[in-house]
Amino acid sequence: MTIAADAPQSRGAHPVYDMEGMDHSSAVEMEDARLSVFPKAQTRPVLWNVLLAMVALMLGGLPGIGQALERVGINLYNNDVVTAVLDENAAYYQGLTLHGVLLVIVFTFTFANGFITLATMRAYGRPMASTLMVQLAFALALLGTVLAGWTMLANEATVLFTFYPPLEAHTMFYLGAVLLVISTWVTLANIVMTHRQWAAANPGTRTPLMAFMAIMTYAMWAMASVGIAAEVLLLILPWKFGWTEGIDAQLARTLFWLTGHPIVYFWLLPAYISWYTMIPKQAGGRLFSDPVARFVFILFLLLSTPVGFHHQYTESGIPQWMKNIHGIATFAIFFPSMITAFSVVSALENGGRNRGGRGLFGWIWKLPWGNPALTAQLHAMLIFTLGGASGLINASQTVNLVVHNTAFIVGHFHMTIGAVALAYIGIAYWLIPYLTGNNLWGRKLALWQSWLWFVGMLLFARGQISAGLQGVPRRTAFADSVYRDFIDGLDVPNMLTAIGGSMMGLSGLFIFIVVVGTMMGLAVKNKEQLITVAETRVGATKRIWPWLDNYRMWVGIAILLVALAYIPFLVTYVPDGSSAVGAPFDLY
Amino acid sequence: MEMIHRYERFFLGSTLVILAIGLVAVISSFFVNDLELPSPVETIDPAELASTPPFDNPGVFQVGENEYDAVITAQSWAFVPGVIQVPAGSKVNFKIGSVDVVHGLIVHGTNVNLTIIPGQVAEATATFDEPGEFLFVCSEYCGILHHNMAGRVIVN
Ligand code: HEM
Ligand SMILES: [Cu+2]
Ligand SMILES: [Cu+2]
Repeated sequence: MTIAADAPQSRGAHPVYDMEGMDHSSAVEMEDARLSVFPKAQTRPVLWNVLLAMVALMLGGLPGIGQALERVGINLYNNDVVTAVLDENAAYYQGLTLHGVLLVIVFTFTFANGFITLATMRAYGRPMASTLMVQLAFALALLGTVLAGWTMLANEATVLFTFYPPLEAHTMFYLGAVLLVISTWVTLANIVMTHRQWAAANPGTRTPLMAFMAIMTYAMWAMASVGIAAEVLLLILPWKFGWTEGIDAQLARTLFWLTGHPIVYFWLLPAYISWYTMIPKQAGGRLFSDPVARFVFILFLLLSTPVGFHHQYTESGIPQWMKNIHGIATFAIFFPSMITAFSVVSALENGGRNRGGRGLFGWIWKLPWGNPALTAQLHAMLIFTLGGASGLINASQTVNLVVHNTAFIVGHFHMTIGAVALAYIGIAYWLIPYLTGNNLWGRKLALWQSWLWFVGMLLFARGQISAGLQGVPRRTAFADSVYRDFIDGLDVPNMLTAIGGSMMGLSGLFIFIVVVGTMMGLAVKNKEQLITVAETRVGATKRIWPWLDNYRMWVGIAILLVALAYIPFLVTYVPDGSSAVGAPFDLY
Repeated sequence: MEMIHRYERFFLGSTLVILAIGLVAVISSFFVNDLELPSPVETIDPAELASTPPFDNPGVFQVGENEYDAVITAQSWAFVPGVIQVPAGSKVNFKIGSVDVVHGLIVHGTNVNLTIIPGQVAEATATFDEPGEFLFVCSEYCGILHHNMAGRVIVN
């Protein structure tokens, strides 16, 4: 097996390895080529996943433009075309529900399922254990999307993507969400089966880094998604069917956020997998350390979930001391992202220097900025840095009282998930060519797309952050509100929101054109498409930190931490503090 | 071979120091600024809220020399009462419950930021030193007229 982790390890500390890197690069490339060929029956569903993700991105992005322009009084919601599709009275919130569900459930899940399935195959150098399950995962996600999409378009589920009870949505909406979650479980099962097959065929070999990361990402998510599954299956559906007298809104939210924070790491980690294991080589460098990268993913597995109360600081059903524990754990989860920042930037510097960059910052300009796949992900890293920093603000319990549920949060998460989305787009710029055999069409346009998104996102986020600090609530049709003229200092923020949002909208149009052009095969085909995997300077031989690969132990500790974080609430709240609401409310 | 480069050790060490300073700052801010997060008060079945004291009679009540209770019910899509009048220098205890879905309460110019979950009574306190008008808004989506759910604190 030639995989990144087993690549030659001992290198001089500095530019000497340039030469060596060049020397064996053709051998590595042949190996890449050999390991990039998989059965069509499996790569085709991967492509369908990526295309479904792109459709969700396009359709989900459209209402975003309406939401941004609404801030400056440009109302697209009474436009005839819009009212033909959306309910006249509910249009803003119906659009916002579509925006949330299509972008952060459908787009992210389908992209992750597709990309991580392929990364797993590439890491092990073998097809997935079950072709049927690759297809099944896609079919479930598609069906889930159709069900949820239909209820949202019919204005039967205008409850936003958080669907907090006792607001009520159509049963098919919840079912659609459940099917989308199940598609990720099927993907996990397939990854684990593939791992077992590989392990049986390669006794004594260490799991390749990329596969290790894939397993950790999906294991973390599978554990975390139990919260939302319990909320829907044990609380919401029985209440909808009238089997239970009522529903406890506080308990339902708590289960929702048990999943709701780790879900952001489920979105983020596929991008990190690209940044750790693919980007270094795309930038001409190597990853510094394989074991440290494994350690980072273990920290994500352990710390992503016992933090959900940081979304619930303002809820009175949860005692402060429990919130404090989750608050401290939230500070801890910042740490693996800082290790990532160091590792990724050092790999980029390595690449820039290999390409002739000199001086403290000279290497930055030598990175392959002409490659849209890389540029989009570099932009994503820059945006995400600010997103992460603003997340630390939200996590600070007392400061949270200033920003919670204001537009500030909208500014924050467009710099996190909006950055992740840009990273996915960057990945798609090589993934779609790889999966179709067509070269990327419209490279210039794709570069423009990335720059527009980058600048637009920062302007938009700045606008939302300022508006939030002036007290503008999020999830609000602001221009229609009774108080739009009673809040001062919004002229500039609203303008920034609208201008930045329009730039992102234009950027979305460019994605559409590039993807369609590439799918139609408009570009001349001139070379085999590969999946690149980075080499590491410190590889993972059997001897180095072998305890890192003890999956059972890490998953066990992760479950223990979640139990410690949630059991105090469950055992005190459910018998004493709970209070059920009888009727479901349909308020749209 | 060195597993963690000394630059990286320095970078990660600094990160830990920064995080620790941040955490200490947040914890101290509770004491320095005399802040509390919303905590359990009592539970009332939302269907009974309107007939359960004090919510059977929402309004503003003087409870101390410069202290008032503002008892508010939240419902789609209004706060009752929507106007709260107090003299400058008053401490106001907001006591609020929802009769239907989840609502929120953000009072401008204060640190009051509550999620009002049906079944859970929510409480927060603010002091209004300066005369003026302070907007309060519903901060949780509660249906299609959510953006019209607001009120004012008038400080004379
Ligand atoms: C054309 C680009 C985009 C624009 C102009 C835009 C604009 C907005 C605005 C103005 C809001 C706040 C609405 C409100 O609180 O009333 C919002 C919410 C949101 N956006 Fe975007 N957005 C864009 C792209 C994205 C992308 C790419 C993602 C994620 C992949 C995303 C995820 C979200 C989510 C999760 C919400 C919160 C929905 C909720 O509160 O229920 N947006 N967007
Ligand atoms: Cu979170
Ligand atoms: Cu509301």
